[in-house]
Amino acid sequence: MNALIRESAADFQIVFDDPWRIAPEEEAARQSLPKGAWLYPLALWQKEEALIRARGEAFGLWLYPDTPPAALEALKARLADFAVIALDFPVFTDGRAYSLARLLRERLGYAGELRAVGHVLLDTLLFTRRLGFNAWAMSERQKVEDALAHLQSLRQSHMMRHPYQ
Amino acid sequence: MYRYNPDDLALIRERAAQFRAQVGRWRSGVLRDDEFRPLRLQNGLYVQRHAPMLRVAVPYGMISSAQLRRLASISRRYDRGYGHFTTRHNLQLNWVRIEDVPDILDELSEVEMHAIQTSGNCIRNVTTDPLAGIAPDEALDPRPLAEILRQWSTLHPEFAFLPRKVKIAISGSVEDRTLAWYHDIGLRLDSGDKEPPTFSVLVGGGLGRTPLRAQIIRRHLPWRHILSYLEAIVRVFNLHGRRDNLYKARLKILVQRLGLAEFSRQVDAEWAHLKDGPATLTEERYQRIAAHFHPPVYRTLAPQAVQPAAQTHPDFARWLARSVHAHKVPGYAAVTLSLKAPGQAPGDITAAQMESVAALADAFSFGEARIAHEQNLVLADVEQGRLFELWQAAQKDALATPSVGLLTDMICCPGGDFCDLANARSTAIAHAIQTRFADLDTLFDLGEISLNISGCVNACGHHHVGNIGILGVDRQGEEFYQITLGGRQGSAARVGKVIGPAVPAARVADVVSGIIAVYRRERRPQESFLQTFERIGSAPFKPCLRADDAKQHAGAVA
Ligand code: SF4
Repeated sequence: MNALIRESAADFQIVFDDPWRIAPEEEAARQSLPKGAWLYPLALWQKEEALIRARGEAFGLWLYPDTPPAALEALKARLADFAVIALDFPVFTDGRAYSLARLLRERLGYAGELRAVGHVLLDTLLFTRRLGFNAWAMSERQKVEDALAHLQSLRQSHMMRHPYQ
Repeated sequence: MYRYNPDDLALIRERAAQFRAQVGRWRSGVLRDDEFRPLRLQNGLYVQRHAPMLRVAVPYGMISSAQLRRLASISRRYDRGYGHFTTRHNLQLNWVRIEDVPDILDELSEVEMHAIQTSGNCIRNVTTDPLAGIAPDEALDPRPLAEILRQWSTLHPEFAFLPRKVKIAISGSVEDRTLAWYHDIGLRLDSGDKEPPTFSVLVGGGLGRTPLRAQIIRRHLPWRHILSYLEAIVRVFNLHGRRDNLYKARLKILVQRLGLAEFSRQVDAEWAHLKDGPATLTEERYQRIAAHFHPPVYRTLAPQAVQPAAQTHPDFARWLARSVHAHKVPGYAAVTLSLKAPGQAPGDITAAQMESVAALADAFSFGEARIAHEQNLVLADVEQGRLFELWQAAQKDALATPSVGLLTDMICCPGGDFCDLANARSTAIAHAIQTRFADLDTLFDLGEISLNISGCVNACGHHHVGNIGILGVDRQGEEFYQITLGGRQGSAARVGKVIGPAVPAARVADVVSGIIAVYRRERRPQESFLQTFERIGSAPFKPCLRADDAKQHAGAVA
């Protein structure tokens, strides 16, 4: 897995030892899930919320692009419990997560880490940054240093202009 | 017209720089072809049959003389000295080199132009009426809202990667000149002098493989809520439009699949959250943008009912009858500069013609021109007293072909000469028909007929809505053409009917001659082609497709 870039108060940082991994969906693997930082796919979370909470460790949510917005709305009151919400981009041209991100930030008030994972390119940082993403697990072939520099350059960018301005 | 402020300028410059970097990363192998493709498309760059093609945006069709001159010099320097105007206010350069595109974009940015979102699965260039701001039947100039839509849709982060493209048209007049019924989203001003103005929102229209007329999803939408309502529509599309099948991905297919009632329910559910939010337009913002579109300083002129020169110059009289349109302001007229001269592919314009149009715009129309949906140019603000002078000047560069609205004022896509997707060489068919119907007396006798040609089902030539529609199809590697009749644009827009099996390329002009012969035989006095077709239906026209019938008209000068 590539290193992560995370926005922190004043800047962006490269995180080389990010612990978050997607939790296995197979029952057997989960029975023996070691302690750790797990991102639970939504379906799994819906099924096993109590068990997951009982583990007594921080947990995250993993969202595939076909997540129904209503399922997120149903979670509204508990969204703040997730240390991380990861939105998956199987290909960078799948823009559904863009709408999901906006819902999470604007409508559901999620203020924690919103992470782009999967086919995350330099070229989509502009859009994801504007939509409130604040962490990026860059695509394998993308140099993280370049991505970091790009994010920093976006701070001054006029392309960040708000569409309602 | 709208002038960029420093932020607008900085934005398109940065976008050009970003594209330059993307080209560099692609050339060095960092970006794979499949990654670069959607990125270049979002910047209007196609890779076509012979060469890459760059589609430059002319937002809602407004263009200045300085911009035209720059396009002329760009087309000479980086292309082969001409360009092609499409039906949606874009100029296509057909012979560019990918490595030159960043420089072209830099040059474009110097005159406040760009190629942002002229292709790709995003919100495309917003289109409107070429007579915006001057048409007597207009209640509200749609350009300020079109500009607001341009700003809103440009790099809109949520809608950068939609299931498929979204085309929006906006119209503020009684008669629709934007083809709003066949856009993904059409906005039509409601009639009556309502204050504040309200719009009817049409959704799910489109031509292409599955032609569908839009349906009215909402009436009386106050102008302030346009952006929030469009966001609700596009969000529902973004989340639920199909992404697994290119041919089923358009908004029209989603609306058809869900049904208007369910689609509308989902849009309303979204809109309930967005309405009155930050997307709501303010009077202040509207006025700030509208100030760019204030009318030019017209002179106080007496309206001129007759043109004395028309008595002595019958050619001028013909041009007046076809190319000159009514204007809100007494003493002024709008003039179409035709790009349908014989021998010229419809919509093609040479660099010299671009410069002539620029000179004519400066001399006659406050330095501005518009691109019309019919692939012609329009000078919007010409003094009636100077029409003769304009006609004389426009003739020099073949911009005064007096066939506007007549059979040879065809809409035609670039087709097989350029386009990768083409089944057929649409421009060759256009040429054959132009040659066949070169006689002006005949054309004037036939009156208004629209003829549209597309080289494949993608329908860039809008063949479905031509009174006569011609569609290139592939029959075992041979170019064939399917003929439809009865399509129309405007407020009562609808698609035509296929009248029978497709015919080979060599017979198309004969078939059109046959169709015209049937019209002449059957028409009643004063009856237009469309009216005759309505009255007699398609049956009398069907025999025109037969080889023996077509033979009768072979080579006939109609
Ligand atoms: S209609 Fe087909 S052939 Fe013509 S320009 Fe469009 S895609 Fe190309």
